[in-house]
Amino acid sequence: MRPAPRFRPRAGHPITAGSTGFVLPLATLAGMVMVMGSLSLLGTALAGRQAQVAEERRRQGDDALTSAAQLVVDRLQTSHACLAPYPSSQWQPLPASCLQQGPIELAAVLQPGEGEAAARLVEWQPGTASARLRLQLATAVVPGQSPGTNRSGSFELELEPQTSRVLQLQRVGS
Amino acid sequence: MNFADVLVGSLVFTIASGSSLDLTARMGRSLIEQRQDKEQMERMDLELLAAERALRQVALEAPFSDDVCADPTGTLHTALSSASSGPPLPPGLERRVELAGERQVRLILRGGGEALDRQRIYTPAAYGLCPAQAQGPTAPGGLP
Repeated sequence: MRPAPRFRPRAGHPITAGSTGFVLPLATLAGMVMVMGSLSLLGTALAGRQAQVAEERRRQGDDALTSAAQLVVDRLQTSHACLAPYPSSQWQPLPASCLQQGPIELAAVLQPGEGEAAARLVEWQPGTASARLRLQLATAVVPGQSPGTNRSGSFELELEPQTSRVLQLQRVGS
Repeated sequence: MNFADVLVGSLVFTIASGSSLDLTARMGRSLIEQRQDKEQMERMDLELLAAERALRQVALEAPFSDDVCADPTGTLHTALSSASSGPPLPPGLERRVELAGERQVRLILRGGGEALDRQRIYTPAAYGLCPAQAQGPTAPGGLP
C-alpha cells in the first residue's frame, strides 16, 4: 500500500514525497555558509587594522624617544653642560662643577618631554669622542602594559673631542 | 515542497545574503581605510627622513656661520619648513612646523585620525649648531 502524500501536488508540478522540505535546510545552510565566510573575512580585515594601529603606536613611541633624546642633548650642551662629562650614576649628589654654578634642575634632564611623549633618562655614559644615551618612555605605548615593560631606546652621540659639540645623534638598536 | 517551506527558505536566504553583503562591504571599507592609512604612514616616514636629512645638511654646511649663530632655532625652523620628501602632500595629510620653546622646533604631521598623528621635537644643540651661542637658561621643569 502506497503511503498517502502529505501534500497535494499541484497540477503540472509533480513532487515526490522524498523532496519534501529540503528547501528550508538548504537555504539555512547556504545562508550560514555565506554569513560565516563574510564574518571570517571581516575578522581578518579587523585583525589587520589592529596590527596597523599597533605599528602606528610603535612609531609614535619612537618619535617620543627621539624627541626626548633631542631635549636631553640640548640641555647637556647648554644649561646642564656641567653634568655632561659625568655618567648619570654620578649626578646625585651633584658634581662639584655643577654646585659652583648655582641651583640646577635635574628633572629637566632626567624627565624630558611631557604628556604622552614624557620619557625618563635611564643612562648617560660619556666618552672622549662619543656618548651613549638610554631613555625609556614614561607611559606605556600599549594601554594596560606594566611600566617596567615601557619602550626604551638607545642613542649614540658622536662628539667633537675638544669642544664636545655634537656631530651626530643617532638611534642604535631597535 | 510546500509553499511555506519555500517562503521561509527564501526569507532566510535573503536575510543571510543581505547580512553577508553588509559584512563584505564593511570588510572592503576597512581594507580601503587600511591602505590609505598605510600610504599616509609611509609618507609621514618619508617626511621625517627628509627633515632629518635637511637638518644634517645644515649642520654639515655651516654650523658656525653668522646666520646660523644669530638664530640657531630660527635656522632649524627654516630648514624644517623647506624640507620636503618631494611630491606635494596627499589630501588629508597636514605638515606643520612650529616653535615649541626657546630652543625647540616641533614638526607635526597630521593624518586622517588621531592615531595617525606624528610629531617630533628638534633642537639646534643635537645638530651641533653654534653651541657656544646656544647657551642660555632653561625654563624650570624643562619645557615651556
